Amino acid sequence: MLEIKNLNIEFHDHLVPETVVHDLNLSVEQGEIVGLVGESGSGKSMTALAVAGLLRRHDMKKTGQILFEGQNLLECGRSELRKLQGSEISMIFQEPMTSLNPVRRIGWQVEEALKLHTELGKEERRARALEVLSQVELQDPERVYRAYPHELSGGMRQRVMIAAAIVCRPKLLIADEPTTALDVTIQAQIVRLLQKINRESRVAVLFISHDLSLVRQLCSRVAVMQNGYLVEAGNTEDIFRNPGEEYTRQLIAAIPKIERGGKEGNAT
Amino acid sequence: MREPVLEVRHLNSWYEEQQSFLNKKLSKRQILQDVSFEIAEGEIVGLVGESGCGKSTLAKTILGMVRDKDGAVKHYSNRPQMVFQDPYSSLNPARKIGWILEEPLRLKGGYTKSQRHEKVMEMLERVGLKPEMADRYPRQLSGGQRQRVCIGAALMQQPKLLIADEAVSALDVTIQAQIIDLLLKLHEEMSLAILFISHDLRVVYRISDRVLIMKDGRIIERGTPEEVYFSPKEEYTRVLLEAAGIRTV
Amino acid sequence: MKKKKNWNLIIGSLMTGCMILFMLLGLFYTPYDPEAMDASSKLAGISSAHLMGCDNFGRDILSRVLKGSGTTLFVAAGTVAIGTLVGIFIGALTGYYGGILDEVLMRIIDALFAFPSILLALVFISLIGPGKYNVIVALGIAFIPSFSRIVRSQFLYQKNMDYVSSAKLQGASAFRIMFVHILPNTLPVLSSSIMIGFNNAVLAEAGMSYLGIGVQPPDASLGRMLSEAQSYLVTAPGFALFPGLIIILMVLGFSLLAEGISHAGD
Repeated sequence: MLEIKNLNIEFHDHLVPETVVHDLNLSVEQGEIVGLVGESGSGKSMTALAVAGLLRRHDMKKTGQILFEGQNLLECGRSELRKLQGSEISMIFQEPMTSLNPVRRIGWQVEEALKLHTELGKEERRARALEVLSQVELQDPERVYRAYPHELSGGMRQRVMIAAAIVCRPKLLIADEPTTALDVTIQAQIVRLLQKINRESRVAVLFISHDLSLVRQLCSRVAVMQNGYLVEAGNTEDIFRNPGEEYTRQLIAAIPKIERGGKEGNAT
Repeated sequence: MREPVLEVRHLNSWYEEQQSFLNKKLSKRQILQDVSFEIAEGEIVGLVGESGCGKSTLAKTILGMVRDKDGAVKHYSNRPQMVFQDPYSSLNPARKIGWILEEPLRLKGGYTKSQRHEKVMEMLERVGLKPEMADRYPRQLSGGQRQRVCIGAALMQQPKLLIADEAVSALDVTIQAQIIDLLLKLHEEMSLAILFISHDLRVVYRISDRVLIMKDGRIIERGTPEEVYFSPKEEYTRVLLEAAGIRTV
Repeated sequence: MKKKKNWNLIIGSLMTGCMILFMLLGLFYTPYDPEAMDASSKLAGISSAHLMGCDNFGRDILSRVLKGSGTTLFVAAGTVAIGTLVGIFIGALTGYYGGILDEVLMRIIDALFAFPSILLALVFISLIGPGKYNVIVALGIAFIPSFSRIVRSQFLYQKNMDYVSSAKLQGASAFRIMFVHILPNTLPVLSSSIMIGFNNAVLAEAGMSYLGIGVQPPDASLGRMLSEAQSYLVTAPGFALFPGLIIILMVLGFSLLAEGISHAGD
């Protein structure tokens, strides 16, 4: 469904161009959850933004292809891209504090995509918004619908973001570090929610994260990036058991192991 | 039993906030509730909790940066030092690394200029940085390097206790592992006690001799990592472990 | 990585450099005595003997401009020095400590801020009388509010940074934290406002001398010369042109320098 072929992203805002993504190949099938893992500066977020069509800037050069259901997102016009954004492809971000507009009610923000992409009337939009708000397991969707962002906790806001992202039943959801700013218990809930939504509505998820243990819980396939290059990609369990590359091995080794009596280097 | 470096007894702390613009009466919001624990010389204690549980307030209270408190905090040595979460704001952007490392010695007094220089160079090596870093500004360093400088600066006055408040949370995983190795090395070399505050259960397990679990301003569970991680007594601890994917239901 | 050249900084520092050289020259050498009158060359035009011509008393304009730009720069520097030093002190105290001290001092500053600084200076002058040094004091006081506001806002931001907490833990005194730790961090912002302040001071001095309440004769200053020249605009345009030109070059140079400095930090 999504196929990235030989993607290069170059910045031209300095005299010397800087390549942040080198020759990337990656595909996402319908209804699949794919993890894109890397440390800061690895180019994972740039890739995500490029797929979401949010890198339309003059000071950067993109070559290669991003094929979404056969259509090359890098070459299609602005209006076609806008038609896809929010309806077929949607995105959630790391910071639930800044990704909601503080002066608008939740309901208005969830309905925004419906206003832009559908012909639904006012009541139908409201019904659909309430439906997705309960789908993301928010207690009392009626109250949340009328609330302002500041009245909600971080976890609730991230649920609202997910609701707004899936309101048009997209085929692809890009999640850029959606749980990094949250507490572990909330993190686990959001991950479970993403799994549920993926199962129920067959939406494919491109899950971008630096947290390998999270990716292992959630994703069937994983791609590892370092300094703009794709280091390794494949089945998540295979890679965790048998990392093919030294860098992947380092990443996995950096997660502290929790085994009974298995603590080393702690001589006390 | 080793000598304690820190003893906290029945510590409470609270914020006083004005209820509204017109109502001048202050209302008390409790942050820490009857917290007691101690840290022995050369011991690493991990303090785990979610945001808002009061773990950062506890650190500030121990260091005397919170006014509204009762209970006792007893330091058995010189003043403990602290390493903060954000390596971008904890180094003075206008000063070179050498200056930043030298400042604690200037403040302590009793060293000549060349003695101070020598100690700065020693510390750079100790925290794994090259001598030429002394002439760099913080913005020229990576996050991991900055955190090394922060640790170095905190250790210049040779404290017996170091408080690390989410000291590795802002770093990439591979860098996290390096900084933790550095803390463990310094802990052994200088018999340094560390209060390691974190929300990351895995990192805490790796580094700690003892673990405290905090919720809503109270310490609800304590013990060795083995006890807490493999036979938790409290429901909340179990929830935390499950959420982190450490314990499966 | 190469950056675009900071032309503002280059041209600004060149122009300012030339102006300062010009002024320094005026301190040690002028072609004629700037106060020597000569009835025979009254309002003389440009000639090889008088490169910028002569004024209504037959004084050499080049000599007077050389001398006058020195006076103007001296007044401007003094003004900015008073404004900056007192402003830093008030701004640091109010920003760092906050509380009742902040409330009281900032309300006074607000009250001062409510008047245009030139008007404020006029009031002071009418109280203490005109003259070079009184102008410096009057303008300096008028400049304090804006500098203390800038410094205060920087201190408010910086005091919550973790490096301040570290310094406290290591036992640094409040005075040391304010002036050794925090102050250098305010310099990027402060230095460009100093430049702008310098500009405003040059213009304010010229304005006040033009009105006759600034620098008093026989001292030459650029504003004073403009004021004297206004009745001869048609008969001897050079009389007004050259002092005016020097003011423009000075102000433009400082503006470019200020702009350049504010971008140099990026």
